[in-house]
Amino acid sequence: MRGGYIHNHVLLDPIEQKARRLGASVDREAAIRVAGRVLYGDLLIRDGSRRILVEAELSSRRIPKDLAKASALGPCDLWIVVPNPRVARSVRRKLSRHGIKSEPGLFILLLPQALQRLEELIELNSGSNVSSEKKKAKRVRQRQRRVARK
Amino acid sequence: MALDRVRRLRMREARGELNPFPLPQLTRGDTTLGIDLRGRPIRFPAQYLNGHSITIGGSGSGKTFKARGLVLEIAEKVKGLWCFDFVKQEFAPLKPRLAQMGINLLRVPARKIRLNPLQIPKHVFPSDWAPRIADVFVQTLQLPARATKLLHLKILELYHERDVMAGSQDFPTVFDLRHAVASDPDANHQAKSAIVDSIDPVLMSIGNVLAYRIGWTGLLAQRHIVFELGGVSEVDKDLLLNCLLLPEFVSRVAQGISNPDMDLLVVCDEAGRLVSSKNQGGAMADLISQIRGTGIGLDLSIQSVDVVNSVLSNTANKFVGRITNASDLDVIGRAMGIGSAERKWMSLNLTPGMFVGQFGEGDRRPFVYKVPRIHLDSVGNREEGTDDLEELMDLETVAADEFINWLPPKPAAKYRSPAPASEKDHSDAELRYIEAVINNPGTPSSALAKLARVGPQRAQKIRRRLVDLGYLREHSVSTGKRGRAAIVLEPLEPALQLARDARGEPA
Repeated sequence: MRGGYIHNHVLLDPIEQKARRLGASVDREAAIRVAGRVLYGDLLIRDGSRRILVEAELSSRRIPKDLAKASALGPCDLWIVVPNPRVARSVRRKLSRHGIKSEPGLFILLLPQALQRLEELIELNSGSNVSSEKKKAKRVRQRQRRVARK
Repeated sequence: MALDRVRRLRMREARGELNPFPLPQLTRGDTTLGIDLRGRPIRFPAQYLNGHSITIGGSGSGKTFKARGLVLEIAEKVKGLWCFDFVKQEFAPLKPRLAQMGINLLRVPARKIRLNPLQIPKHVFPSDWAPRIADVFVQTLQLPARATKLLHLKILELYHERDVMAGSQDFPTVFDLRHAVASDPDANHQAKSAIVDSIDPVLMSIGNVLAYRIGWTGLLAQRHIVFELGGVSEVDKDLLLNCLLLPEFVSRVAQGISNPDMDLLVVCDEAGRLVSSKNQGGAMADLISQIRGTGIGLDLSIQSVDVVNSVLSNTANKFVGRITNASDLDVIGRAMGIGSAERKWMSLNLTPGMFVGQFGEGDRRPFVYKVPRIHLDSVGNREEGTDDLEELMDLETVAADEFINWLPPKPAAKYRSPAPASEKDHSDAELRYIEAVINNPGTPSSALAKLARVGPQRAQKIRRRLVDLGYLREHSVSTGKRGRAAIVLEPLEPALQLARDARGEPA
């Protein structure tokens, strides 16, 4: 298996276990064909029509390859899971150097954030516990009420 | 007729035009200070300068012309003359004039000086020099107070190591001091970091100045030199100035010479930084009281009276140029015994080149005088002065070649290679800790203490030991939704082998 202890046991294992527990199908080291070459995605989570490519990164070195893999995979979310905020900042800087500031479906997450997001995305689970998500849901509800009144 | 004269005088008095100062009675002596308001020369014995002088005046008041005039007057009457050009070349243009008088004024650029601050000055004990120079480092590099003790200790250790205490001339350098501090694992961390962080830029900037085991010593005090410190940073200037002056001062104090004739005059234009009240513990402020009567005359020029008390107390000769700050005028006026009427006259009538002076000896009444404007041709850049260094080559120096073009060492590797350790070296608690790490990947180290059934403090010691021995590796991983990243431990192969052995499993 590729990757070191932190990559595999600390970052990917908990996400894989949680995804399986929530009923999603998980493919570890999924083969992805990129420009005639076979690359491997750390974790490919499938939940119905939704596909999430999870890449654990300890540095920003391999970010371009992650982007290429996600792009080759077609419509899917790319979660870059990092061990700490320092690496997260470094990854954001790298992305901005590639002209990517915010892309729909691209997330840079710490492990607890990734686990939380997984719970929120997969059906029949507790609602969002993230304040920004709560606010977003509230705004949607308000908009729906306004539309209903009209 | 007489009444008209009285009326005219009263009107001039009312307008503040009447000079309230008496005409100076300084007509004897070998040195000319300037001319009084009637155009007569003011003379004084050069030895008056042994009591130190301070000149206060705003920018453009004529301080530099006054200092230049003094240098031209005094140069042939003293064995040694040190002038410090801190920013502009103010004294270097005097070289051709002094050459006409048969005096060779040596121009020494800052980066050509050869110094070793840890070299013991003559007649001084190493144990006395160590705290002095430690203080200089702390003040000039603006280190925390805790660093003084660490530096003092390390300097003494280096002196012992190199037998300097027994009289050896194999002095340590500042580079040795830096390495000694950086390599001490038990030193106070904050003090150590502060010293290393502050000293590294200095060593990279003026390292070649300090790369000498024996630098220029006391014989420098018998030369006429302009130290051109304009091209280096303020910290470097402070350090160089202190390292040039302090050994000479301390050496003379240690000799216990009492009231000899002045044989070295030190002229510092723009000396505000040296004696500023913000620099209460500064070496100059500390020594100015002690060096009086050791044959060194000090002439300081500053723009404001915001100076350490001991400086005003210990400068017998005071000169005031045009000051536009009322509080400065009050302070210096009171120090010179000048009344309010005189102070008012000074604030209205002092023009560039006109000073109110007071000597510490002879006639102590303040007087007004003018200094001549000395026009000098500008000189070449600092590097052109390097020819003068040939003159100083006869001074014995010992270079520390290993530190030429020194660069700070790169930080040591974060993790050590695994050290051989037998199973017997490990306690049950350590084995339990290793088991807990293996069985709970990604668990923060704070939670491992409970899993290993040891106390938090003991767990911390066990963790450090196992990391040092190469059994575990620390990683910073965010395991919670907020707060700083936790320490997550990775079991390395020796730890896995140890756990297998403990369980009786094959390798």
